[in-house]
Amino acid sequence: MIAFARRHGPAVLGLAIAAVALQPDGDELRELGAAIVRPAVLPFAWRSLGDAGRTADPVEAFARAQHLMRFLPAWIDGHCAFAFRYALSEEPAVTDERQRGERARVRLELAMAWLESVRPRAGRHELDLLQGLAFLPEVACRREPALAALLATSGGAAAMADPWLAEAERRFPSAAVREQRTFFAPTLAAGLLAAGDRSGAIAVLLAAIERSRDVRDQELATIWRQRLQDVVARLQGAPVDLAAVAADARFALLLPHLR
Amino acid sequence: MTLAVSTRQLAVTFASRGNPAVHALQPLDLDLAAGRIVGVLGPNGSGKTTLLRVLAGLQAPTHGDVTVLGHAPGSASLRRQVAFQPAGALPLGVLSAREFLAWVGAELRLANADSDARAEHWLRRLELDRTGRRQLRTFSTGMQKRLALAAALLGDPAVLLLDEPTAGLDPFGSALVMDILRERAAAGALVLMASHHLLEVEEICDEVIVLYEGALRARGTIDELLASDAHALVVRGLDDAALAGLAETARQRGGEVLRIERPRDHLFALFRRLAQRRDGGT
Amino acid sequence: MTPPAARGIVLMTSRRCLQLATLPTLAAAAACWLVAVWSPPATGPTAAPGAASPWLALPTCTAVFACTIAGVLFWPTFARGREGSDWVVRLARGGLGGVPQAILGILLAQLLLTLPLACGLARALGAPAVAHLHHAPPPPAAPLLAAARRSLEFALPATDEWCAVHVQPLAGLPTADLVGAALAIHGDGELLGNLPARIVQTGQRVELSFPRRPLREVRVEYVDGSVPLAFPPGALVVVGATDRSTLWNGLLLALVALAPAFAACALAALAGTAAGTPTVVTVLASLVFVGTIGGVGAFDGAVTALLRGEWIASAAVRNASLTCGAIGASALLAASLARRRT
Repeated sequence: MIAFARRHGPAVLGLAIAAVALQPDGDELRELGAAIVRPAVLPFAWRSLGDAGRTADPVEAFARAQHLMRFLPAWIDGHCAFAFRYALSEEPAVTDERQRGERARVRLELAMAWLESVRPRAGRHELDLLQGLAFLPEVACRREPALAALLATSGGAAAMADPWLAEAERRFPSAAVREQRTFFAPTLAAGLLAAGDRSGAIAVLLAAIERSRDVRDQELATIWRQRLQDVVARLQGAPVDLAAVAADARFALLLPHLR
Repeated sequence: MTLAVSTRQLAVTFASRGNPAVHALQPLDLDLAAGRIVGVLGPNGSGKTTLLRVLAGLQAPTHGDVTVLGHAPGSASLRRQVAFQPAGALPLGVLSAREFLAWVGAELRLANADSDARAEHWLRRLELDRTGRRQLRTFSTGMQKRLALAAALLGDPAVLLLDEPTAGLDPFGSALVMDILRERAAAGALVLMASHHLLEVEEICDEVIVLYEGALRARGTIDELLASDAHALVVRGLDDAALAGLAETARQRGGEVLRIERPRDHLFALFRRLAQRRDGGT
Repeated sequence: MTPPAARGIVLMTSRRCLQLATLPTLAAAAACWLVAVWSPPATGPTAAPGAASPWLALPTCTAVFACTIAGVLFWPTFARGREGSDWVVRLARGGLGGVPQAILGILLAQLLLTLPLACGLARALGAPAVAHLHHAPPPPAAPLLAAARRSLEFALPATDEWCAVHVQPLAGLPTADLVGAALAIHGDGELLGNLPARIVQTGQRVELSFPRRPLREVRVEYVDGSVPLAFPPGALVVVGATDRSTLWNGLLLALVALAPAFAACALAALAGTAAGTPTVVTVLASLVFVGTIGGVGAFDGAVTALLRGEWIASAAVRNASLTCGAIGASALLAASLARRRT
């Protein structure tokens, strides 16, 4: 015991001082552990993922991606790529539409939950991650119509995206990020209208009109604002000429709800 | 006289690209009889180890013929009959002394019980029986040398080729080793040992070969090699005046007094006496 | 009396390898198991045990790495100019100073360490209790399927009964407006069923299950669609119906892992005819690492197969292992010749 203390005492003492001084939390300790084993594990995990991409089903490939990315927590593009690949994968064995939609929703939720779990470690790439989270539902719905039909009752993909855009705006309050959410308003409103939430859609559009005053290109903002006002007026029952709106591709999703 | 080792025009040359060839052994004719202890002397690089390695079958001769006990040196039939103790540390340093000897015994195809009995005998004889499970790599140089000798003797060989068998040994250990070598020679084995310990060679060897730059420079018994027409008269109990008278008498009889000195024993003899006393000898 | 393990080169080397390799292997296995169990990947209702392959491969490779390095460091004649090698060369039988026996010892130790991993850890990581033969019959000479060529036939061995077909062909550019390829599977002339989904792109994997039955031949029929398909080797896999124990499958994995280790040791021994210990160890470590990462031999695929519940013994595994064995044997032969020359 004494010999052990004499031999290892200084090292133990140093560790104790470091622990008291730095007070690492669980995440930091986990990151330390991952950093230690990363060189040994990474080649195996990477190779296994490469094989899975060729031969395995999407679920196994996604699971392998999760193993791999545990050792590359800061590689946000990688996380997004694997999450998108999984959420957009197909399950050809399922022929029933509703079942396909349900399966697609499970995949989407798993992929988004995984991406969300990476947020604390994303650092300066968190904006990319939040934008990935915002647009994944939209892309997944375009890929799988059964999923779009399933989500339509709750505001569609846009309703899932908006909180993430809001979070991106809160965390990274730049003009570009703010404008991104402002210009997303028609898509979100279309989703709400599809779900039968007319007042919610009007509120979104009114907020976008208000926010358009901050858009850097005011010439563009003026046109945009005018069209939003036309849409709101139509939704409120006023007879408005929507020719300009109909000609604007950014409002294409809204048009079916304005007739 | 039974010939144990015979060489005819034995030569070994090490050639390496870009470097001049090294003639480790120049054409060498040797006949060595069984039952003798032969010392191989020479400075570093004179070819002593090369000669032993050729006889052990570890080095192919570049030229000439060699037979050991009538066979080519590398012959499988000589595995047990010829033992080679190389200089340097033992292999398999993580084994204990008993495990090492058990492996040697297994390679020599000794029955397990026989091998263990022989190992126990030599370990006791060479004072290594209390090493227990200690690993060889923790042994002192002297202990490793003694264990190496035990390993060499395990198969009861007819030819013992020993490279520096007493290097690193304390005088007690050297004395013990030399006693054992004498016994082996008396039992009919040829002991061929390369050594730099001239005193030990002088004491133990029946015959000496002197190599220099790979060539045989001298060969013979110690007496033959060191023969001289001078005689020494060793006396005790005379004072200086009486000694001077004795010297004068020698001169008158036609002799030449080369020196009068007070002879003293060498340290090695002292250690031998001490060792004998420690073992209960006289 | 000295135990037998200290007498022969094989057992002596094996014991030394176990002394040095057991702890790192156990540590790696425990760490991998903890990681896999404490934070499993989220896969929803579908399990994906095959994804845990890195957690089985890593401790197994640790065992391979530790055993081979320990063995090479232990046995003096693996490298040139090692202390005491004259003893070994004189005493050990054969032209390689006991190196083949030492390699056997290394492989024995590796087998003892990897067997519990392949049987126990694999189960702990989610490998199913039974495995099934997954046979990829060789494709016909021109393995293309399209509207113009409507069927491909694959011959099956008569050794098993079969219960499913997996199809994962390469998809070509559509010849008209995109309509996925609809395929029907026939067995010995009878319709086994239509694939449940159309194939529109490469990588799509569609399965068809059917009641177990013996089959001598499977025919894939192109029902309709505009996507031409190519069936390279492995694009069609038939699944055996017989349940086989995962324990036996684990034993097969442990055996499969021996082949690349043997080749690496033998090549290291060949390097050792001209190089000293540091070079030999570097060569060995590089071979084991590169071999593992580069997928040399059948080990990598076998790990995934074990975890997925696929029977490891297949022609591909056998061929890859035999190739490794042949490389190792050639290296030993070359080492023997090289030593004879020096």
